[in-house]
Amino acid sequence: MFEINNLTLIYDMDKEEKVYAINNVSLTLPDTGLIGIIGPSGSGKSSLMYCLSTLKKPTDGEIIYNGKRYSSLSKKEMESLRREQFGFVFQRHFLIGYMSVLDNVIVSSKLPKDMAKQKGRELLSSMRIKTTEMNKRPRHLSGGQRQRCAIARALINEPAVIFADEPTASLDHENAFHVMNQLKNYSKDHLVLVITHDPSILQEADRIIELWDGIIRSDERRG
Amino acid sequence: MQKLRAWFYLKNNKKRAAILVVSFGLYFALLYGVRFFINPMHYTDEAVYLGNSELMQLAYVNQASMLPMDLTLWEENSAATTEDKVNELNRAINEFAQKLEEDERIDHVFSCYIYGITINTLAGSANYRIPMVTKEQARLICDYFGVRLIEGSYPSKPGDIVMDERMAKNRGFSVGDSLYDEHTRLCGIVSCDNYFAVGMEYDEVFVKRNLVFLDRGTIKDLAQFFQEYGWEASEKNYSPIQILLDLETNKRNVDKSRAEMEQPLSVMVYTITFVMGVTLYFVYQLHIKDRYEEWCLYRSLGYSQREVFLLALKEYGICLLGSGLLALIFLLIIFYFGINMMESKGIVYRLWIPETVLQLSALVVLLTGILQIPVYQAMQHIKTIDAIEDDI
Repeated sequence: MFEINNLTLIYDMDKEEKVYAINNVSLTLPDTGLIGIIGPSGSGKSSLMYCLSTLKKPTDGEIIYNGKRYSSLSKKEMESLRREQFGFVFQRHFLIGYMSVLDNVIVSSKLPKDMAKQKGRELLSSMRIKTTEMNKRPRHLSGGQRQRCAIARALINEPAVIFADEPTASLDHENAFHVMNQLKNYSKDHLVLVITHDPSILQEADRIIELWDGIIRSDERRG
Repeated sequence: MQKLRAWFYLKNNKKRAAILVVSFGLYFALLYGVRFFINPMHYTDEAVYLGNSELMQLAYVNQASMLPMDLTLWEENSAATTEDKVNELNRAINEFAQKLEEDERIDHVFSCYIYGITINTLAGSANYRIPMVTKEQARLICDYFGVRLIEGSYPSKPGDIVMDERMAKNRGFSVGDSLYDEHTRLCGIVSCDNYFAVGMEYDEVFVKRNLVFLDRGTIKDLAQFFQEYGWEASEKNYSPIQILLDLETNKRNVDKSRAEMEQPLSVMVYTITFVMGVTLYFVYQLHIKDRYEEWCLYRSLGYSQREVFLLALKEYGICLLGSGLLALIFLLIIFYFGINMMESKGIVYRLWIPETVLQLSALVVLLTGILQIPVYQAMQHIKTIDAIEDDI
């Protein structure tokens, strides 16, 4: 699915002391599976996710997704890719404060509104959000509930790839386990990339890639 | 993808939307309101100086030597008294007036003396000239203007003055009030389209060097009229015949006074427009800041820049529409108080000021353009959610 060749991302290009967020990384990622990308803060995990999801343009190297070279994609094609193929769970939940939880989940849904609402409710239920809470504003939910709503939002269009940046950061152990279970189930037919600095949540991962200073330190395939 | 709904944000963020709507609404209402209160200066000027000049013109005979009179009365060895001289001068002006009246373009010419009365607006004033004529002439002038008596009577005693209700309101006069001294009093109030006043002379031996012309708009330019007879006339006070009221001269004077007033007023209005416009810009920028994170999210989820920009534009459009309606409500309140105040002062005003509406429309277009700058800048800065993540 993903073919990454000599990927490099440099911050502060115009400064003398350049910061290599990603340094000459080459990787191949399959169509399905739960893949964990781990590493300490500043190791380049999130930068790699942003490059793979077209949110950031790499300084050098090439990313090929299903035969499409990112370097040859127009802005519109990248938007379309994000809309059609990718789902996002960001470090912060980024729920829209004035919308209900349900409206937040369906905000990017491709389905007609009624169907989108129905699907949104199902997803929220699977994320252990009670029906009574679905019409509440995000500020009335706990941090963990908000993060689970953000995950439901990422799943609404059944994207081919889920990019999850620290999806369990604000969850307690039980909920973290539940969310990872959901992502694991989803990864049977799709690709789920989980970025974390907590290896304990990646017990079910099919592959764990460890990044260190923008370089792949280890690439462990399981099962 | 679900359509981005501008109304959704505004509906759910009433306070924030209200700040925008109220700011814009106040801005437009205030700009129109300022003009509403300032413009009566022009309208009153026009009503005083041009309102009657189609029907009535006034002149002052400066040069006595041009009159058909017995100049021996002024010789050193003459035994003539001052009264004799005044009578002779008045007789000569009267004869001069009768000669002018023979002109087929003119209906009547009377000699008279004139009183001035000041009409005050909210910021400025204009001077109306009241011809003091005989009882019959006063009545004739009233009939000529088609005025309708609504209180008191037409001038019947020396010193009686009749004036229109707006002028009386402006000066706070009631029937029976003394106007200048113990000899003059308001005998009646009439209704007339323009400011109007005429009085009955109270002193036969008062020098009456003024001429009142009554015609149906045939004499627009007294200078030209007198020139045809070989006499020099102009608005200058040293001219043999000084023109006090005619359409052409007064048009020039009104335009000149308007231009003189317009300059400081324009500076004031433009300053208000600019200062409030800048404030509005910052208010709008705060709104953009508030929307920034959401727009970033939309872009990350795959909405195009165009879709997000259109969302911002629609939100702006709805706010603008709302502020237009609110401005109308503000203006109705301003009109309510303004009309009461101006009606009670007999000031000429207009609710509908097309030139200001046109200026405001141009301002809305300009403002819409300027306020898209912060939106455009935000759009350029927003790549995706990573722009926010970087800020964290």
